[in-house]
Amino acid sequence: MDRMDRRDSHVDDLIDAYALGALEPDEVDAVEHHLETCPRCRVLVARARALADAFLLAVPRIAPSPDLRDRLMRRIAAEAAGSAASMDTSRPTSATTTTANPVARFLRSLLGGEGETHDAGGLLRDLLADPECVILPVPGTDEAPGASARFVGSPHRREGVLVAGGLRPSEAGRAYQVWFLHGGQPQPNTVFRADHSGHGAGVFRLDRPVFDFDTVAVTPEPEGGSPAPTGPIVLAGALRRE
Amino acid sequence: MDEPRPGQPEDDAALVARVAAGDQDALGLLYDRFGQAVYSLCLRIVHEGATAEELTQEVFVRLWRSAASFDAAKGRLSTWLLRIAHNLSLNEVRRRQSRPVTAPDLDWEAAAAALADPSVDADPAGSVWLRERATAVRGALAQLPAPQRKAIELAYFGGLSQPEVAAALGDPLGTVKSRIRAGMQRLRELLVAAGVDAAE
Repeated sequence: MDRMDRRDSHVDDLIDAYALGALEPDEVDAVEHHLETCPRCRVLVARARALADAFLLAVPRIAPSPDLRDRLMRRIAAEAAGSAASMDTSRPTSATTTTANPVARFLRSLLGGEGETHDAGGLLRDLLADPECVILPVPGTDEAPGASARFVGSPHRREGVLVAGGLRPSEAGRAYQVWFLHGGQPQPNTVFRADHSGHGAGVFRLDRPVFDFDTVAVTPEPEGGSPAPTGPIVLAGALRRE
Repeated sequence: MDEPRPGQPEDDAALVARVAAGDQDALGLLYDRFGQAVYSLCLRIVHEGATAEELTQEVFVRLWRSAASFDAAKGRLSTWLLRIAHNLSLNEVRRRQSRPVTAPDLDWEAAAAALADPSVDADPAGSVWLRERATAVRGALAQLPAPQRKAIELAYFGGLSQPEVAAALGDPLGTVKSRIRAGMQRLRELLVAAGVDAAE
């Protein structure tokens, strides 16, 4: 489907499936492109989403294990104490619950508004409150095997945060630059510094939805940033909606 | 903020404000209120109790971390929590690449009937609004023609695209698209007839 075809014609036939998350990526793009300029269809989407939300309430109730509440409250108590031992050690871990690592601790400090990167903390709090929030791992490359990062964004927003740890602390006049790649072509984005413990966070803003890109990467660059990468890639990860 | 009268439960927004201030007891009260709904939704999507419990914890940890940014003017807390649960659960299913396309149908008629027996669906701490709303939606889903309901369920609870729904059901894509649209329209009509405003 040509997305331009949809700018001037309404997308009524796609709206219900869009609200259910049942469209193909090119159809999602077409709808979102149209919604940018069509208040009428935005209202229809809001109504369709409200109907889809109603399904969430209707699932028949099944009680979880009686000890789930205790396990949750222990985990919350650990978070409140700022403890690194915030994992639920009585259960297998999954990608959605990985918090006991240096990046996660740095994330918590950002969320608490600590340090110089409180702007990143505010956006992080917003993103984590977004039901569509996506958190993706961005591993260190062979150039920086001890480094790792988390990409925090949302399919419907053109901004997000990259939170990194295990980097070499930035020397005077040097920083790390975030790049978004599409088809192998890097587009320069924000610059951040790694502190003495190797942590840093960059707030990125884009001119199009983040999942239009396929990869996010980080390279060391001069403090003012570069128009094209000059340093080796130290962090790189695929951008996927799921 | 007004103190709740004795015997009157504190409203969701007041509890969220307490959570934002670091009150762990308030988070526990919100778990008591919505934990079962969150767990049930996660279980419906991932079909595995241990994973559903992990995801339920994750939903409430997110509430703990970002309670300050919750805006009651933008929607109910229950909807916010359940959207997060829905999103996390679908992410988990996709991460494991084990989409539950062969999951058994949910019997919405039986689910609606079970509401008459509180012991089957006991949720005494759940909000009255949530319970009434669930009753109406289950009743509406039970009245939907089975092919329409199945297509909508596979899309929304299975995380499948329309072509994937068509492949799973062995139906033509055009048929699936028509069923989803017709089913959603019929649900709107049934909920209006039941006096439920989906946008409330």
